[in-house]
Amino acid sequence: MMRMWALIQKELLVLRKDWHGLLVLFIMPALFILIMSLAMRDTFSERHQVNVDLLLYDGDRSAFSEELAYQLERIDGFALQSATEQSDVEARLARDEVKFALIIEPGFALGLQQDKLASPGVQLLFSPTASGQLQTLLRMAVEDVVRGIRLELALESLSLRADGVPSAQSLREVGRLDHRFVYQGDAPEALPTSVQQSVPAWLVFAMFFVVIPLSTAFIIERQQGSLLRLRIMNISGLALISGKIIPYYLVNQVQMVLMVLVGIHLVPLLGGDSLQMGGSLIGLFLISSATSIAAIAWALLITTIARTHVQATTLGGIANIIFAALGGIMVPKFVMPPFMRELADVSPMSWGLEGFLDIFLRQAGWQAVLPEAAALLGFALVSLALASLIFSRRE
Amino acid sequence: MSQMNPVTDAMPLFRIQGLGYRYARQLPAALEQITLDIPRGSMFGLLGPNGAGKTTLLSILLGLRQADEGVLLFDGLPLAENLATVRAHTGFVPQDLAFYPTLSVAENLAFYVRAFGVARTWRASRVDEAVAAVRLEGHLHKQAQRLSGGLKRRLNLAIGLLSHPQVLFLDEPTVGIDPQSRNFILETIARLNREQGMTVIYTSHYMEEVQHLCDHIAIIDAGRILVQGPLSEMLGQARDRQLRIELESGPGPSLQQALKALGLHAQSAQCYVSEPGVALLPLLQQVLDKLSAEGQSVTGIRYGQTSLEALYMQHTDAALRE
Repeated sequence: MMRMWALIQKELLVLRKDWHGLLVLFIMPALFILIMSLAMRDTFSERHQVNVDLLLYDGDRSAFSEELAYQLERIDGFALQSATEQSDVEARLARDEVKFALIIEPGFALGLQQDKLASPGVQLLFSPTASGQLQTLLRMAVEDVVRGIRLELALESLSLRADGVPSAQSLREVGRLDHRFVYQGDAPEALPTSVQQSVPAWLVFAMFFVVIPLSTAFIIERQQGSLLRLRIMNISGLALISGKIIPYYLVNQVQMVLMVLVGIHLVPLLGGDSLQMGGSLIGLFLISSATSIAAIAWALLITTIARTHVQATTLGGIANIIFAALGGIMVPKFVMPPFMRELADVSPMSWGLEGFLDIFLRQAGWQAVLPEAAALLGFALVSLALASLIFSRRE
Repeated sequence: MSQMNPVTDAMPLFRIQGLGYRYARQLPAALEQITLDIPRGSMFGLLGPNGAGKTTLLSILLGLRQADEGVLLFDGLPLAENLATVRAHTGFVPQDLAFYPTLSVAENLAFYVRAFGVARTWRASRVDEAVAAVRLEGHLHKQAQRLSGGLKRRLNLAIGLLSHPQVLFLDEPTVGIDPQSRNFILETIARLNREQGMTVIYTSHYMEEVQHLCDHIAIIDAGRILVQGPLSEMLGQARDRQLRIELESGPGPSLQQALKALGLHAQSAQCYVSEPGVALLPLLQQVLDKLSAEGQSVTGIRYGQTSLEALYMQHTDAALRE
């Protein structure tokens, strides 16, 4: 036990002096959480569902064109800017200063009054870099507003001829559709935000990056004869492996605590939402432990496959990035097409992420993470068995 | 070693009989019929060209590999059955610098003394003794990777001494360091052997180092022991009886034949005769005439006590192996 404790302390001491390793394990994920929480904030936030700056040129200058602008401005997330010249609109789009523009052509009001359905009298212009989803959204919004104005005109005309026709105003105020989120556990006080997705995602990513310091330290030990020296000192293989697994397990748990603290305290300081600790703490411990064991076992497998630490860091780094790209770390799974979502299930990072999302996002109890934890532990067992086989053959 | 087995001093520390080892069934034997005694308290030099089987033999003696056949006794007891006890009395100084470069000298020593399982009571004194033995006192707080080559070798040796070993394995412990550091390390090893009776098993390619340090040697090649015994006896047998002529290039077949007729063995770019049965000067004259007639230039002539290097070259064949 004394020897194992010595090995654990030595490993932590070596890691403490490895600035590159510490950067990869702690600074990199903290930065990713900050950047991605802020960058993805609008994707999740109800208040900032869309953010469309629309350049408007009113060539008609009629009451109807003003009504169109007014109705568009009332839509959440739409901000209108006025252009004085039509030529200025295309120039600013070409320079990519704005992504979207709307030109109300002269005769727009006349077209509405004469009910010329084929020509609405407005043009939408997009910058080539405009988001496809926002293009569709804007088109639907403009069509809806134009349709509303035309309906209003039609109703006014009808009400002059008959009684009991509803007013255009009453039809307009349908009321906003309500919605709610459904959780596995009790609903949290706050709504899901980008930080609820970013913290688990980049935490899982960082946990798997123990491959860099672990493989570097282990391979240098192997190459420089320290491992041989330790074996001659009657230190068992089990103690040697435990002397790697236990310190890096502790490192992973420290990562978890620090990344959660970054989500709770640091992200709000920079204008993001605060991470809400939801679900079960036991579940959090289970999924964090299972992810850590899987990550360390994977790192040990990479360490035995690689002959040099350069090979190990390259192989481990690339494999982790592929796991992350597939597993919904870099791109949330909900924006992936269905076949990519299915493919994501091959990545152990996806299992870890789903487990953490059960806790942070779905407010689930500890039982919910058991399938993911079991999958991760199975992955760890297979990795350790392969590592052991390769190690014994090489030695 | 008396704690392990009540034996007489006459019993060798290691007794190896008929030992064989193969890395794989289809490969040739790495070690074959090795029979060797390593006397207690000796300075034992294990010599051989690269790939001769030295490392394999060392790893068997250290219990890292199991021999396929033969008997291996340590202090009269089977090594495989007493491995933990044997290792507790063993120090190992590998050729590589087997410590943690980012840790300080003190941190490295503190880790290894604990890893060795030394009880807390004795740790500080063990470290102090090892530090004093290699004179590292002024460097304890330096990062190991910032030490000079000689200091790194001294730290490597100090770690091997932490267990208070009764047998110390040294694998090329002076590679790549300056002559002063080399002398210091050699003197330290000799002192440990002399004052503490520590058995030292030493491998090196520096023949003058082995000749200076060791009292017993074994030369191994192609997995077999070619010669073994007390160094003084081996060198003494050939004392003042060997004439060695160094040539500019290796002699051709006809010259080899002619030299053989004069009683000389040709080997690579040299020829020699041990125990010349005739008067030396006439023989030398004859040989030089023959060489001159064949257009062969002489680069050196040696006569006298055989050096270990000459003995080694004679037994292992001077030809390049790799």
